[in-house]
Amino acid sequence: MTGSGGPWDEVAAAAGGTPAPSAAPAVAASTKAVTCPNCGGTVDIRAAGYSVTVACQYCGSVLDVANPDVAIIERHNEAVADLALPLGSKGWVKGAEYQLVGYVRRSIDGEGWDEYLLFNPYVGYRWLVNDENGWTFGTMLTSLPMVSGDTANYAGVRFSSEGEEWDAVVDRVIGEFYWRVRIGDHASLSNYESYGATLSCERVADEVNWTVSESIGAGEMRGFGKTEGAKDAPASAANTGRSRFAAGVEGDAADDGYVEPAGPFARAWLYTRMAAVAVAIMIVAMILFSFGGMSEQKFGYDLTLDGPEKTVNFGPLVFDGRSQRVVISTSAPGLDNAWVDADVTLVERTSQTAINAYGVVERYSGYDSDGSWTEGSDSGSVKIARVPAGTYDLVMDVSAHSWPSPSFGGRTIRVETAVSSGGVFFSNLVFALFLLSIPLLFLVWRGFKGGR
Amino acid sequence: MESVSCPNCGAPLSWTSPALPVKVCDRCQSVVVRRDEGLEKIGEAAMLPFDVSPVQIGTQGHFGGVGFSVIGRIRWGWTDGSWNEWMCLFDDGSTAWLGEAMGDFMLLREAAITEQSDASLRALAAGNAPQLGTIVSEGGVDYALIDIKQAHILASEGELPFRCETDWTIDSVDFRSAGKQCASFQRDEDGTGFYVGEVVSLADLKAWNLRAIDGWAMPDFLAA
Repeated sequence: MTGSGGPWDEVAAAAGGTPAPSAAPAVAASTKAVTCPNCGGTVDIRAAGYSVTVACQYCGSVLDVANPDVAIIERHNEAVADLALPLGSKGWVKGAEYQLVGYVRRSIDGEGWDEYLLFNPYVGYRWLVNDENGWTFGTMLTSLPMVSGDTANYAGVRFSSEGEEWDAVVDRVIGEFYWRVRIGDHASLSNYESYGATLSCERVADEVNWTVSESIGAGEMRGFGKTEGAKDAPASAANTGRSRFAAGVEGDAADDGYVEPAGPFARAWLYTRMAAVAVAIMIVAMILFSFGGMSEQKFGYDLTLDGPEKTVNFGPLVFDGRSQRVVISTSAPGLDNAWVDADVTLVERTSQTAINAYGVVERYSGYDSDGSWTEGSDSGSVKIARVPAGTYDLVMDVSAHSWPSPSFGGRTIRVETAVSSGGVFFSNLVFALFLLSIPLLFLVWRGFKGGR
Repeated sequence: MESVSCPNCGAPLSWTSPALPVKVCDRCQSVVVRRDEGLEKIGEAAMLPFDVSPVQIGTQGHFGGVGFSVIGRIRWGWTDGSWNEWMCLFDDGSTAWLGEAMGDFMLLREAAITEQSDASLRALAAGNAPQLGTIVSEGGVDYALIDIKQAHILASEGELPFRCETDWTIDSVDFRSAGKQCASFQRDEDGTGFYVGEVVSLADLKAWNLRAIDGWAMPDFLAA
C-alpha cells in the first residue's frame, strides 16, 4: 500500500487502520481514541470525521482534533465533576437512539443552564437542554427562517420574538463538538416562541445558527446511563432489539425536509385548526343573520419592500346594519417571495371603540425536484364578524418584506385594499347547510357502523 | 461494467458508470484516468481518515423517483474540519453529489451558469470575492450565501468525474434558502461549478446498504 505519506495516514492508523469502507463490508468501529496531550488520558472521539473540538473528560483541556496532530487549544487542570447525563451514554428521545457526545454549560448574567449534544451517525445531531423549566429537545435548522421585526416565519408557522437579545457565555465544556468551542465564547441569543416550540437564533461573528426546540417530559427520555457513573455505558447494552428506530427516524424527518412540529406543537395546531373551523361556522352564521350593508370600497397605496412600516387611513366607512360581517381584502398584484402584513383597526368615530385584527398576504415560489412550486397567493383577506352599526375609520399599519431581508430593498409595490360588509351569497348558504349537516352525517355514520 | 487492470499495481479496476473518467484504485490508491488511448495514472489519493459516516460506496437510495448508487467519494478538508461529497450514479445515467456535513445531507446536481443567471452568481463565476449574505436568485428560488471556505482534497475513493489528487484547493461557497432548497458554488483556477439541490435525510432517500457502525442499530428506511 503506497498511500501519499500524508499526515492523514497516521490518523487512519490510530483508528485501527480502518480502510475505505468500500472494501470493508465488516462493521466499522464507532470510535477513535486520541491521547490528551495535557493529562495523557485516553479520549474517545465518537463522531470521528465530524468533530473538530474535544474537551478532555479528565482534565477539561480543550483539544483541536480537526487536524491529525491533536493540539491543546486551552489547558485546564480541573477535576471534571459528574454530569447529570454522563458523556458517552446512550439513550432514547422521541423514538430514536442517540449517544451523548458533548456537554456545554452556558449562562446569561450568571444564570446557567446545561446543553447536551446528542449524535447518531444515521440521524445526525440533536440537543437536549436542561434549565429551571425542564428539558427541551432541539434540532438545528437547515433552512433559514424569514425574520421581520418581531416575528420569524418557519415551516409556515409564525413565531413571535421574546423581544430581548442576550449575551450567552460558555462556562464549561466537556466532550466533542463539530465546531470550535472554548470556555468564555460569547454568542448573541434571541428566542421566538409559538405554541410551546421555540426558535433560537444564535449569532457569533458573521455566523448565524437556528435551532427549533420543544419541551419534553422526563418520560420522553430513556437511558443516558442515569444509574451509571460518569464512565462510558457499554455501547451494546443500550442497543438490543430496537425496532422502534426506523419509526423514530421517520417521525423526525418530515417528507418535506422540515422538522415536523410534534408533541405540544402539533396539538396546538390541531386546536388552532378546530378553532378555525368554529370561527368559519360562526362567520357563516353571521352571514345568515346580517342583511343589508354597503357595496365594496377600494383604496390603493404604495409600499417599499423592506422599508419602514406605513400607516394608512381610510374612511368614513358607514355600516348601517345592526351587526355585520366586514371583509377587508388586500391584494398586491405580482407579489412573489415576499409578504405584506397588516395590523388592522376599525375605529368607530363617535365612541372611539376599536376592533383589531391581523392579516398577512404572502406568496412564495421556487423550484425543486418535483418541478416549480408556489405557495400562498398575492391576495388575502381579514374577516371581522359582528361589527356594530356606526361610522368607522380603517387604520392599517402595513409593511412589506422580501425574503431574506433586505434583498430587494427599495423596490416599491402597489397594494390595494377593499372593504365590504354584509351580503349573503348563495355559495355561502350551501356551505352553511353543508357544515350544519356534518354532525348529522357523523351521527348517521356512527349509527350505521354500530349497527353492524 | 467495464473491467481493466490498474496501470500501477495490476489490481482489477471496474467502472459502473460509462461516463466518469476517473477511478481511484481500491488497492494502491492510484488516481487512474481512462482515455481513448488507454489508462493513465495521474496521481495518488491519500488514504481516507477514519470517520463514522453512515454512507459507503454501494449505498443505494431513491431521489425524485429515480434510484441511485453511491460510486465515489471526495473528502474535503478546511482549517476547522472536513466533509464528504459522495458521487451518486442514477438509474437514468445522470450523476449528483450527496454532500454530508455536520450530520446533514444535501443532494446537489450541477447547474449551468448562463447569461440569464443571477448577476451575483455570474460575478462569483467571474472571480469576484464571495460575500456573506449575498442573495442569488436561480430558478425562482432565493439562495442566501451563508458560508465561505477554502477547501482542499484530503482523500478520495471510487469513480469520480474529475481529477482528485490530494491538496487540490478550491473556494467553496454554500447557499441556503427559506425552504429545503440549497446550493453550492465551487471555484478553482481551472473553472467553476454551481450545484443546486435539496437538504435531504437518509430516510427521505430511503437509503439502504448503509455502512454498519459498531454499537448502532442499522435503521431500516425501506420498511419505514
